[in-house]
Amino acid sequence: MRPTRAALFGLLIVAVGLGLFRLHFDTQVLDLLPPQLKVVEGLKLYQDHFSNHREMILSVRGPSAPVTEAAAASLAAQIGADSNLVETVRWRPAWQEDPTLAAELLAAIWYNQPPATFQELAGRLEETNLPSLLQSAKERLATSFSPTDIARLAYDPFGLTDLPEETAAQIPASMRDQDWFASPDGTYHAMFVQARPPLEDYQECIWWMEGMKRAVAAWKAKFPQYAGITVHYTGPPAFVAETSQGMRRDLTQSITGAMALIGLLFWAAYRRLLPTLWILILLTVIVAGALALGGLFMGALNVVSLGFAGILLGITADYALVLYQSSLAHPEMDATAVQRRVRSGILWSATATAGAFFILRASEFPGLSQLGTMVACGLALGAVVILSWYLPPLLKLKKGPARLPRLPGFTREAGFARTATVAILILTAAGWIWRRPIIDYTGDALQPSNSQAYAALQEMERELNRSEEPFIALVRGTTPEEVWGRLQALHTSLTNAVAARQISSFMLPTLLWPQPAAQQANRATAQWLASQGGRLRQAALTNGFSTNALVLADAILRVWDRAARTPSIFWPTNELSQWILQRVVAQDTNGYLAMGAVYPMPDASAGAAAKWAKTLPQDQTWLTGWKPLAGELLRTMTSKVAVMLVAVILLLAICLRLAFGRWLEVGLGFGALALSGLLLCAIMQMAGWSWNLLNVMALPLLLGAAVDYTILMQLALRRHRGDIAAVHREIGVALTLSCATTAIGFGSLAWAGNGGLASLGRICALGICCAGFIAIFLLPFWWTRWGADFGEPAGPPGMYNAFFWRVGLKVARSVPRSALTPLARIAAWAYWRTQAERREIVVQNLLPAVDGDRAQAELAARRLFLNFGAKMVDLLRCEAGCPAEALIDQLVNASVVLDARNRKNGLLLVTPHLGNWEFGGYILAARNIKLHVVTLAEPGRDLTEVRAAARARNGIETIVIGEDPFAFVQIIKLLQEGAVMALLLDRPTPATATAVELFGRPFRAALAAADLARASGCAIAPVFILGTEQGYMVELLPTIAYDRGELGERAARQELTRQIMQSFEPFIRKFPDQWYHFIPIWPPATAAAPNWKQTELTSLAK
Amino acid sequence: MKKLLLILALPWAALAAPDDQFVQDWIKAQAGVHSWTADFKQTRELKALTEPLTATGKIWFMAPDNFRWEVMKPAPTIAARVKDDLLVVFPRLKRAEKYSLASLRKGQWKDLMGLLDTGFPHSREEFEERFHVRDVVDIPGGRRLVLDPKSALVKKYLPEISIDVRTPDLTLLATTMTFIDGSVLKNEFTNTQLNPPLDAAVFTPSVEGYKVTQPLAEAP
Repeated sequence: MRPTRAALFGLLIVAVGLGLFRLHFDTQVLDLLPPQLKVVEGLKLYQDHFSNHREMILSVRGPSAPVTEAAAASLAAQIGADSNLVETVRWRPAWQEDPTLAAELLAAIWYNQPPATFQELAGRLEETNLPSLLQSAKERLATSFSPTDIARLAYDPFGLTDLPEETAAQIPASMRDQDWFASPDGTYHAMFVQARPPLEDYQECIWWMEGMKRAVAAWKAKFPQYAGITVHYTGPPAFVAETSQGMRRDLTQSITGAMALIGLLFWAAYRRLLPTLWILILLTVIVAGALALGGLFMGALNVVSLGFAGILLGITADYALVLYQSSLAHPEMDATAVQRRVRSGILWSATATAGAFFILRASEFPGLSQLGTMVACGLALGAVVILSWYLPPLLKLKKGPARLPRLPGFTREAGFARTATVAILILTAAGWIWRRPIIDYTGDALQPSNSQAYAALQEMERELNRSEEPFIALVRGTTPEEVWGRLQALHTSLTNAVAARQISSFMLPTLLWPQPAAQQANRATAQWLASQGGRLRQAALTNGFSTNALVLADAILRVWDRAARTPSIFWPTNELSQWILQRVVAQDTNGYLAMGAVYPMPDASAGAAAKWAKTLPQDQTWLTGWKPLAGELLRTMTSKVAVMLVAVILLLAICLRLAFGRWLEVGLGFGALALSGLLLCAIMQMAGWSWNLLNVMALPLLLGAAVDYTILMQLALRRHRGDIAAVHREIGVALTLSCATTAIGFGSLAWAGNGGLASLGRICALGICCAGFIAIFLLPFWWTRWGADFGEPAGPPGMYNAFFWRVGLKVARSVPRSALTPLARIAAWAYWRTQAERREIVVQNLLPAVDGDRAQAELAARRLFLNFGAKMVDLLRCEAGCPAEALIDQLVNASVVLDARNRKNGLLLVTPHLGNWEFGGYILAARNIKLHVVTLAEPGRDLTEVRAAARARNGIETIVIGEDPFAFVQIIKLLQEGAVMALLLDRPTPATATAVELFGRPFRAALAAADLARASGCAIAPVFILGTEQGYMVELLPTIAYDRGELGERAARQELTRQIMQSFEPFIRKFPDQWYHFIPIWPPATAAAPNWKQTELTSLAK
Repeated sequence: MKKLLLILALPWAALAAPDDQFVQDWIKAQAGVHSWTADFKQTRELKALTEPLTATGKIWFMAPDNFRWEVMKPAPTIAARVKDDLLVVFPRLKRAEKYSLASLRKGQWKDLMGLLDTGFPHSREEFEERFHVRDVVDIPGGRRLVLDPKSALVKKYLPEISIDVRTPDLTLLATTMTFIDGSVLKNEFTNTQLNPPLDAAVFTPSVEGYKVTQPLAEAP
């Protein structure tokens, strides 16, 4: 290995290593969402400030309430003792363990009341009021029917738990009796476990979760009576551990599954071990390379983007298939020749497919966008790797002829196509009658599928009677006062929404939010109340209460005492207060955040939720949650997909029209795509699959992928003139295998941990199968029935018309040649890359001129397109009136024209479409020699007139021959008068064509020159004008001698024509890249006929 | 041998379910109760108070689920239930509270407020849905059913409830609720009348001129 190459290889290895080292998994669902949406912004705020990433929720389910409660207590004690793993465990409300803990929150709520309310409380506790207050409390205790009232009032003789009515009303009734830990029947218990380690990454989460599971297993082993207890895990650490493990599993499964199936497919098709093993090795390299690229440039893969691997494998395997199939079809070629033959196709296909995936970036979903980027980069890498490395070792180690796979014969039977078409129509109709497309309006597609942590969370919500998932309301401000103001505004809006039945209820942390002004005003009252402890105690004891009844009051008085001595804002700080406050209040460097819950109406749709959220105050206020998110995403996605679909369909229509040039074939292409789409929907509807936020992106992807099949198939049908067997032989197998590998690639995502990605994979795989089947097996029969067109060769390009010509003249007139020529060459290059059919025609035209060397013909064809771009600029400039003379570099044998002119003899300048033949007229005109150009009518209306007018402006006369029989009479007369005329020989009308031999093959040339010689006796001078690096070279060949008397015989005229054409042969061979023919010029070869040359010459002559 | 068998059987007898037949008979007997009235004396022995609190009053019941508890002393208070609507009236305060048990979620407040009709189960299924019979013990003049509430919320406040039933006529003698802190609330019934004619209006006390609130109604 050369040192430079070795260094490059080393660098590559280092880059791959670095990329793989950097690569990690992003387990956050929120990172899959468009960050610019306000609802997503809100969710991220919630996650950053209110979701405790170290808090795991562990659920315990037992056969009965006592057993479950005992098990929960025992488990909490067991795992709580493991101080390395667990910081705290809370398995029942803190106030149940120590009711006085609730005193701090209660005291804080009173402390935040308006001063008048707080003073009223103080007034109730005045010495004179105490006896009646206590007597009243006893009376209520004696008469209340509510056990909860009795339990509460017994320990609250002073009525400190009786909050003002409007304050108490801020707690929704449904929340007042909420048990946060146990189900109503007691058989389900939740416990909150705070991890000791910081759990900063997913690996630590996995390690910690495994430790917790071991601790639970140890507990069950230690207490056999709890062996039957079911324990589930949820909360952030459980989600992160599960998601990251799932991502690893998904990645491994999709890669190994896709590789195994691709390997099997290769083996089934070719029965060769080496190609199968080698492709698997290269695919591994490609995926590793793509992963490294992802690691280098993105750093992290998310749950959606990791699906790239399966898709990439499926598509890159296609390239290997094409290469291998091509090498089998051309056993005489070496690896380089085969690579050259298919290289442009593979690179172009990779570019187009990568482009389609790149469009996913427009989806605004970072996950999908990353998936598209990864696939696009991987495809580029894959195309290069497969092209460079796949074939050479295989051909070196080739052992004997390989088996060429064939499609089953019955697939070419018309009966099969008819039956399959009818069956598909019936299936499609049945699916659509069965039900309409199912659309998932929820955000579930973003959730993990088959997730134990998610199932555990849902179980907890169900068991703890939180069936209706609330929306999250967030308010932000730099100071508590600012937050309070926004909370008030939101409170008003939400109250109105409840009245209008837009929501069911809501809860904002207004009760807990400190109000500095009220606290300031209440400080003195709190201080006085705190000082009354002894008196209150005495009064209670005197009125029949025991010391037990004073625990709560004592605790509250102590809190007021502390609050009164706090100069700044008073926040509750004890264990219970913190447990509650951290769920609704947050503080960061930017200020404060408050969180509330909004309970939607049970039947509220996601769309309505998103719409309603926009009516709320928006200033530093967010209403978020999965439902509003789903509504917002659906709205965004619906418009996005609609725009993308329209764009893709328009693009396809243009591509198909340019590819086929006939609307009928465009229609057939769209028909096949439409039926594929309808069939896909029908199967989805019957299977109960729904469209969701992520899989809706399958539509543009499928359209992009499936259109390939219809184009390739119809072009092949044209090439083979409707011979379905030949089409199947040439591309049927390759398309089928390609379709299968792509479906495998997409299908490998069907078991992905993310529900949306899995459904995207399923739908794409099914869609590819539908489109492939219809294109490969049904479209050929539709085409032969309705679209067959193999009578005349393809016409000139559609853009060769008067309109574009006029535009071209204007542009040529106003833009300098130095600027226009490169642009024209780029446009010609783009045309060459996009117009496979036209490219192939040119390649076929040039093959005889390069002795059948396909590679040379392709090279020449490519240069031909570029040269043509430059030639067109010069021609248009001439026709626009710019002088041609300056462009002429050499004039060889010009005396021929002058001699003829001196002899007063007519001169017929004959030329093929070689170089810039049109220049001749302009050069002669510059020398005051009038030229008559004999031409056929141009295609389309007006173009002949436009061009004739341009020539006339430069003193060139145009004589159009076509249907007018007198045109020839006029030409003969002019020649007899000594005129100089120019005639193109190599593209005759059928009426004037004759068969001659060119490059050893039959060729159609115009007999017109020989006919005119016979009629006028003019001199015939072959001429051509070739472009060189310096400019144009005009070369006139010696005049062709002939015996005018013999030309009465058609055979003699044919021979004269042959002589003329053969005089051009060496120059065409030397400059094939300037022999401009864009329509087929060679009659189709008939390999079956042994004496093909004679047969075709005869038939052409006839 | 017989002695040995007896000894062996003893622990099993101790572990066997409470007298299921008695529970069955008592619940079955409720089918014959169309209406019922009694005077009651309510004693509340609360840990937070140095002396027990007593209240007296009258109770009316009409099948299937109409109740009226009326405390006469120390302060008049009425709790009247018609189907799922419960009305608590405080005549001295001219105030009333309405509760719709149907709109309250199962297993929560409904369980607590439903304790008012503990002594009159509709069926065995309904009874077992709410209580587990821990024990049936003999008391003077009857038997006592010791119950564990199944609702977690009820159990949080009241871990034990007992019902005293007179034998052999299986009429209600008393109910006792034991609170989590050991406090006890006992209702003792006297002057009981089985199936007296009752006016339905008894169960819908007038609240005209009263301030009526709905403390548990859903509102922000």
